[in-house]
Amino acid sequence: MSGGRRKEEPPQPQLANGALKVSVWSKVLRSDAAWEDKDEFLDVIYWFRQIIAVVLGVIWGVLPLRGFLGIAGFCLINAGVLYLYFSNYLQIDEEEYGGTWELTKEGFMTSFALFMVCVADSFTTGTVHFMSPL
Amino acid sequence: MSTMFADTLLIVFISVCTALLAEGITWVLVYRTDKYKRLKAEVEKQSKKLEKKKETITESAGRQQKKKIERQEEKLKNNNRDLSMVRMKSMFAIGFCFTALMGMFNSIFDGRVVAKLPFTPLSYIQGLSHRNLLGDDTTDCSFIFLYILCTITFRRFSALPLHELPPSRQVDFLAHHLLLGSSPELKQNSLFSIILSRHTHIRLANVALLLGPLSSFELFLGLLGMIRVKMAPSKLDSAFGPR
Repeated sequence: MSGGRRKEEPPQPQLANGALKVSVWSKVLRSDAAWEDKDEFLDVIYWFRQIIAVVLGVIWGVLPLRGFLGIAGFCLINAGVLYLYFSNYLQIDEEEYGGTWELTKEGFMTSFALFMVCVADSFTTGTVHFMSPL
Repeated sequence: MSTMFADTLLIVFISVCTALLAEGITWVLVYRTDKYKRLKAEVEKQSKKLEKKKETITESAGRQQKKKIERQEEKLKNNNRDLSMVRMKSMFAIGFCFTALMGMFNSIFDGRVVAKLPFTPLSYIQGLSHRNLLGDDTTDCSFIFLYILCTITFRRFSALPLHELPPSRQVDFLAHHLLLGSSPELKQNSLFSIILSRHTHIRLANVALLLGPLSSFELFLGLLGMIRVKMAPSKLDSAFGPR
């Protein structure tokens, strides 16, 4: 039996020089991916920070984690997770992007503001639903 | 309490709408104009060219080569300045427009606790986070504080559909490159370089760039808020008399 038809892969978009254009998000989880476009890699770092901010903001607000311990915890986790990602997992050369500090700074303020919004909203929700009298 | 939750969502919605409105105004006044498109393309092309040239230049490069680079840097600086002037139009329009809107929102949310914070803000931020609120509970959040936080977040996201980022990474790189020189020591210590900078306008430009997503619009609103806080008597005083 010849078996079913092999599922044909959709045609891969090709660049003018014949190289394959790989989707950014398919490169994100590959430790051997090459990042030719610096801005692309910085965008990935930026969006990862926003995702971490939303996740931590909701968790911190629901727990709730009060005081500046929560804020310090967010800063450490945000910086630490991304550092481990680009330094240990991707093993990129930080000097190409201006150093570790530049990569740590990338999108940090926006993610901090987003974290504050999420933590205030989720904490308020928790206060409204679980602490208000029935 | 349930109105607090509704207020929180409403403020997030308002900040998204105002961010989109600001980008819309900027698009109408700036982004769609030929002058802006031409200047932006010119700046990007020149900065890439300059970057490549600086990477290939060696210590033993001739004076002529270095002079050529300096001339290119000067040209880039001028184009960048022209680009900033073109953007200035929209900043003024947004400033006026949003001063009126902020006045309206402030009066709507005056005295209302819109969210609860899980921490006590620093004392100099409490003036903003606890503005015009009754009671001593400093974890109560006022409209203006939550609005500023939401604006910082959503302002950048709202620029994405137009493929414009305020202030862009390239301008960031450009500013460090042009205004501070290529010295690696200066690049590593941005704050240090600001203090050492002899020219006020360069210093201010660097401060603006370091503040990142907090664009001139938010700075303007924040400053306006601070001035109003300092100058206008508190509504509590007018309601209950000075303590």
